[in-house]
Formats: sequence, structure tokens, C-alpha cells
Amino acid sequence: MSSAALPRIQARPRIGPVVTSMAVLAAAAIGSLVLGPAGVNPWQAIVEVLDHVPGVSIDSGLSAQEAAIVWQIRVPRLVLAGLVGAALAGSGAAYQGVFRNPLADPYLLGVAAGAGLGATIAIVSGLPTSAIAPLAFAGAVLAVVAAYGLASLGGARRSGATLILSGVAVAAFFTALQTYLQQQHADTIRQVFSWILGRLGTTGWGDVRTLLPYALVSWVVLFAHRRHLDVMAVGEEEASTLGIDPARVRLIVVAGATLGAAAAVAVSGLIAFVGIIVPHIVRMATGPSHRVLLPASLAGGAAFLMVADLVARTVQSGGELPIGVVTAFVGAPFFAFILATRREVGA
Amino acid sequence: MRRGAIALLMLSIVLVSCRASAAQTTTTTATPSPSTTPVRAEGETFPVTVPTDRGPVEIGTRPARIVSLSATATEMLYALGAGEQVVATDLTSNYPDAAGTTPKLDSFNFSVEEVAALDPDLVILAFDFQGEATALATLDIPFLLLGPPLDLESAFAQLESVGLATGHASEAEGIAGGLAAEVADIVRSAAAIEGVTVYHEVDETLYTATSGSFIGDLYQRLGLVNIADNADLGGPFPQLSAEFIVDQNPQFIFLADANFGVTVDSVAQRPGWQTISAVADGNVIPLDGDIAGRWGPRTVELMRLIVEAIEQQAP
Amino acid sequence: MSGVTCRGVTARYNGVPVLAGIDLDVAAGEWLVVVGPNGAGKTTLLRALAGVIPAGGDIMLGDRRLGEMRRREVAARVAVVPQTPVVPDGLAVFDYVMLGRTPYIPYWGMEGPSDRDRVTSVLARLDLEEYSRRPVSSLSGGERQRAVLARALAQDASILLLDEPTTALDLGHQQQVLELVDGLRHEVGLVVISALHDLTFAAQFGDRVILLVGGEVAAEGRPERVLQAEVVSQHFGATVEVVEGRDGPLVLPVRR
Repeated sequence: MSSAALPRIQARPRIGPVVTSMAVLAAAAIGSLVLGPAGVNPWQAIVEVLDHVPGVSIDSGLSAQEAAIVWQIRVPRLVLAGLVGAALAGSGAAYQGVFRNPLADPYLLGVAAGAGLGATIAIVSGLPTSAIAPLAFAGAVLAVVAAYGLASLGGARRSGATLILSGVAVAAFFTALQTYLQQQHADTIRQVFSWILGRLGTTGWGDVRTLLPYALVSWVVLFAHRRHLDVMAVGEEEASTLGIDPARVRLIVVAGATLGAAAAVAVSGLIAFVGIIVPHIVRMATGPSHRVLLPASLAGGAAFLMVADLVARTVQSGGELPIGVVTAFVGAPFFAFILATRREVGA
Repeated sequence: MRRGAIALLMLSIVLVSCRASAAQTTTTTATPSPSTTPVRAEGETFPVTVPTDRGPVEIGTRPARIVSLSATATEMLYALGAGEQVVATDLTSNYPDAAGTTPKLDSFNFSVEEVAALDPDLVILAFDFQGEATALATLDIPFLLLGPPLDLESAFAQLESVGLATGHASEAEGIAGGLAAEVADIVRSAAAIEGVTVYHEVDETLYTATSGSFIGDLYQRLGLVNIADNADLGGPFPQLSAEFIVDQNPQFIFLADANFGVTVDSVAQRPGWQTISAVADGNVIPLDGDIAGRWGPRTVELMRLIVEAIEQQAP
Repeated sequence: MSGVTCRGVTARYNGVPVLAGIDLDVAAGEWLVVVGPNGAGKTTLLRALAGVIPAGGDIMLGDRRLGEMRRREVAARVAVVPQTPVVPDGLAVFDYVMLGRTPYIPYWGMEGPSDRDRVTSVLARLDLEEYSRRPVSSLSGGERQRAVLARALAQDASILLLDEPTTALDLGHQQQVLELVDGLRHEVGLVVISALHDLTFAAQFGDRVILLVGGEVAAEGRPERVLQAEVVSQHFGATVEVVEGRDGPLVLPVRR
């Protein structure tokens, strides 16, 4: 072995994709700000936002309604879209990493079914609309806890595969409960359905304030475990011989990812495909390392949902498409694309 | 050849008898044609032929056991004086008070057995989303499908159909005529508020009604401008975006969802809405959802209420 | 640090006993080869030694008992080269070998310059420098096996466990890998325990051989003592001729 100093091979952190995703995010944010059914002049819209920067005072020349549209409707909405998109994409990337499955999504362990059940209970019980989000959140978390509980009943070591299966069982059960409740209260079907389809509502900053702390906690947990997710990539047994506890890492990552996903779903309904598509596409550009994949997924998810929401509110002049419909329209061709470009991995 | 002639004869006999029993045809006309005037039987004699959404229906004898699964039909029945012939109504039929005392059925969870157990000789429905029509036809229970009409004339025609079917044709004619006269009065007095812009809210998630709907037709008759018509959306009940509504800046907002917890205050708190004229000037008017969502005789009250609300604010 | 000691090691799989009381002693610098027919428990034994599966009995790694150590401590002492390593798509060789530094990176931290230096030197030692930026999945069989070995070396463990390291390699690369391991264990004083199905390789490279049959030690000792024709015939059901070679016996299959 040579004892001479070897040139240190620097690990290139590949910040390129992260920078790119940030740029895309900025473009999406500006687009969401200036475009919309109300036809506000783009420059005036930007000036109006600048006017709200502390210390800056410029008159944008917009009418009272237009100014309200820009600052009270569009801005909170695009911020919410960004947060929800980032939360779903980040959780999706984490789930994909911890289960070593590029088609895992944050709804895998029953988050969607649980949230749907919680929301349905809130709606059919006639509770005020402010009760829907907390109950949906509780349902989502409960579903994942139930999945964990069910998986450990077998007595066998809680492997990833067992957990996924129990998640499927829990989801099926919760969905059945939800369907039963809906059928018993058929007059509320439209309301439940509309919630399920997903909607980035116009409750101003309220939803943003609700989601933000959960999203932040979730992201802190996920970021702290980026390296662990990279180690998990070689499978549980090898990861174990390398010195990490795969079951514990999986528990922590799932908890963190579920927190963000549950809060996002509670606030905005079941928006599909963001959690699968964004990390998948980002991974094609960044490679498998979670140090880059995670931040790029957050930015990419935020941008994706902002654009989807922009489409949802502009494609029908004056009206709105449920955002779940827009993401589904993107989702279907996406899967076709994946199938078409799948490379056979060599032995 | 003779065998062929006999076969043809038998076929025609079968066809004729089938036609007689297939009184409930499956024409899928969504609107009753106003041109089909009800067959007037003198002194309310039966049988009569009544126009419905599904085409003409023959009623053999004066019904004495009517089941109403439509809140509007219930209001019409009691207004016509047919209340004594009603044996059961659905859960949404809460007007008049007498309707509240009848046995109740859940029209959202339709059970043909529950209906049949009441031994009805006439059932009136507003919707057929659960296969009600097929189920009733299978059990040979006569029914009238009278769904949401698109305009006031059709609503009056429905009133007359119900009157004819229940042996109260002359009352129906009288009431319809009286209502029409009232409507004409209201429309005349509404000349002063022509051109006022309104937003009619059906649901908290910003569903509205365009002029292609019944309630939208009322606004249009009153000369009011419905902002929902300015959106390029299909269907009578589209969903608007908040941005659009704020931009349209309606002078009046009518809340048909007031029964579901939507208040003047909650509307004012929606982000950006405080800049809307209707909100700023205090012109957000809650409506009784039981009246705004139906097309019975009380509709005229609704029109009067709308006009008065606007006139109060007129300079 | 001294070697590996086992007393009465047992293991079960789905309730079925797979190892029924194994005793082992391997000193530093020694290479113990585990041979045996399929299903004898070779892989299970290695997994038990690595602490990956629960096992009964006493396993001492150096001066510490396996059951009393945390996973990180175990990983700093024992490195495993698995039979079919998982290769994440798109992962570069450098990053793959860096995974071997996991036991030394603090839980909340990232790798540091000393870790990068270690990886660099390991890559140089195994002639993988030119591949360091390429994806592991793009390497050929022999190069890939070297990359897995490099990862194991980066763990700076004193005990190296190899599960059939010659699987799916052509003859030349099989020899290359085994020579490499032999050289390394002398350089660093590693304890090497490997499962090998090729009896000649077992005899040529192993200091001692242990024959596992049905979860028990059927024979143990120097290769020429264990790998005798009658023994092989009895436990493997194979007909062989054992010929003395320069570095140890050559076990040659012959036709009946």
C-alpha cells in the first residue's frame, strides 16, 4: 500500500440539480402570482407584492379588488401549494428511500384512507368545517399506527414488506368504513367527494399557519436522516452490518414523513401523484443520494403543485378544476412514460 | 299465409296490451314540454293523463294514498288541498307543518320495499339517481317523476300536473294563475333595480347557479345580472373561483347555503372578499335554503324577498 | 485485538433449528474456511457471527461479547461481504465504498476528510481509483466484487466475513479476489472467516477448515485433515480424488 499522500477524491455534492429545482420553483411562484382568471397586469401584481415587504412602500395602481386578489387570494394560495407540494414530495422521497421502492408514495401505509375516514366522520357528523382538518390528520396518523401495530402482531420481525402489507390491509378497512358512512349519509356525498378530490382552499393564511409547523418538523427529521436513507439503499441486512438499525431508522423516517403528509392531506385533501412523480423525476436528474434528492424533491414538489394549481384555476375561465384532477391528468402519462423508458437492470 | 295472419293478429294483441300497461315509458326527456297541456277532465273525473319528465302518465283513479319523496311536491300537495291524501313524505319535506306529522322515508337511501309497504297508489319523485323509477315500475306502483324545472313556467306546469293527478285540477289552475299574477307584479316593480349584479351561492365551496337553472331564471326575470353567466362554464351549477368572484365585484350576494353555517360574517372573512361591493356595503343576504332549493308555491315569496332586499339599498 | 471465539452457538429459522451448537476459535491473521453441503448452515453461521440474526450461545468478537455491543460497535469490528450484494442504481463507487465508513460517522453528522482519505486509500489499494466516479452497477463482476471488498475494508474492521465471494465470477477473477483477501489479511492481521463451496480453493487458501453438516461441525482442522476423499464422499455424496498440491491439497472431482 502506498504511503505517499494520494490526491483526495472529492465527493462532488452535485448541487446543480438543487439549484435548478430552486430556479424552477421561483419561476412557478412568479407564474402563480401573475396569472389567473382575473387578468391582473403582471408587473402591477409584482409591485403589489413588493409593497408588502416591510419598509417598502410603492403604489401598484391596482384597484382594491385586484390588490385583494393578488395579496389575499393568490399569494397565500401559492404559498400553500408550495408547502403542500413540498410536504408530499418530501414524504414521497422518504418513503421511496426507506422502502427501497421507487413507486412508493406517502399514502402507502394508509395515510390517504385514514385521512379520508377522518374527514368523512367530520362531515357526516355535521361538525363545522374547521373540524375536518384535525380529524383528517388524526385519521391519517391513526392509520399508520394501526399499520405498525398490525405488522408487529405477526411476531415476525417487522420487515418492510410486512409493513406495506399491513398498510394495505388498514387502508382497505378504513376505506370500507368510509364508504359505509358515506352511504348512510348520502346527502353529504358531494361534500366528501369534493374534499377527497383535493382543493387548495381560499382560507387565506389559516391553512398555511396550520401546515407550516408540521411540515417543518417533518423536514427537519427527514433531512437529519438523509445519510441513513442512503445506507438503507443496500437493503436491511447489509445496512445492519454497516452499523445502522434499519427498523429504527424506518420508524423514525416513516414517522417524520407521515407527519408532513398527514398535515398536508388534512389541509388540502387527497392530492394524488405528487408524492410519486416528483421524487421519481428528480431522482433521474440527481441520482439516488438523498442528500440531493431530498432538498430537490421539496423544491420540485412545491413548483409542481404551484403549476398544477395554476392550471386548475385558469384552464376553466372563472371556475376551478379540483386539483386532484389536474395531478391525475399528469400522473397517467407519467406512468406510461416510466413503463416506456424502463431500463432492465443488469444482474 | 293464414298462419302468418294469425301470428300478426296475436302480435298486435300483445303489443296493444303491452302498450296499455307500459304507461311509464322510458323516454328520457329531461324537461316536461310546456306545450303538452294537461288533459282537462271535468269535475276531476278519472282517468287522467298527466305530463311528467318521463312523458305522459295515466292515472286510473283518484289517488288516496300518496307518497311524496320530493319536498317541493309535498308543498304543492298541501297547497292544493291534497294533504289528506298523503300517507307519507320524505325527510326533507318539512313544510308545511302538517307534512312533518306524516310517516317519513329517506329519499337519499331509497328502499322500494319501504315504499311498497305503505301500499301507495301514487308516488311523486324529484330524482331518479338510485333506480327508483325502475323499481317502482317493476312493482307496478304508479309514479310521477317531477324533477327540478328550468324556468317558472315549467314549475307552474308541474303544479298543474300534481293537481290533475290528485283530483285538484281546478285548484291548481286557480293557484297557478294567482302565482303568475303575483310574479308579474313583482317583475313590474323590479324595473327600478334592473342591471344590479348578483352572486348566488349554492355551497360554501363556491358553487353557483347560472341563468340556465331555475333559480337563475328567477334572477334573470327580475332584470338582475348574474355574474355566474360571465364565466365561460358549462352546466347550470358550476363552481367558481374566489378570484373570479372578487374580480366581478357583485353588488349583492345571496346565500342559499345559509342553512349550512355560512353567515354574513363568515363570508366577510374570506380573504379578499371585503373588497367586494356587496360585502363592503352590507348587501350579503342569507336565504332560506328550503325555499331557494325548491320550486314550489313559496318561490314567489323568494322573488319578493330578493326584490325587497335590493330595493332597500337602492339610492 | 484477538480473534473470534464461539461456544455452543445455535440458531433457528422459523422455529427449525439450523445451527446446533457450534464451537469455533479463530485467531488474528487466521483464515477459517467453512464448507459443507447446501443447507448445512454456512450462511446462517456467518449471519450469526455478524449479529444480523439472533443466536443462542456465546460469541466473542475480540474481547467483547457480541450480544453486549451496539450495532455500530459490531460494525466497527466485523465487516461482511455478502453473497449477493445489493447495488443501488446509479450509486458511484466512491459513495458505495463510503458506506463502509458508516460506523464512524456520528448519527447526526456527515462524513469528514478522514473518511474521504480512508476511502481514497482503500480504492487505491484495490485498484479501483479509475472507477471511483462510475456507477457500481456498470462494473464487471470482478470489479464489482472488489468494490464490495473495498467497502468492507473501509469499515476498518478486524474481522472479515465473506459469504461465497467467488459466486458469479469467472476463474481468473475468483483467484484474484481470493489472493487479494489473502494479501490483505496478512497486511492487516485480519481474522477471515469465509464460506466457500469450492473445496480446492478452501484447501488452498484456508489455514483451517470446518465442515458443517446439518448445522453441526462434522470435522475441523487443517485442510489436509478435513478434506479427505472419504470425508468428502460421505458428506457431499461426491466422488473425488485428493492430490497433494504446493499450497495445499487439491480436491478433484472424478467420474465414478
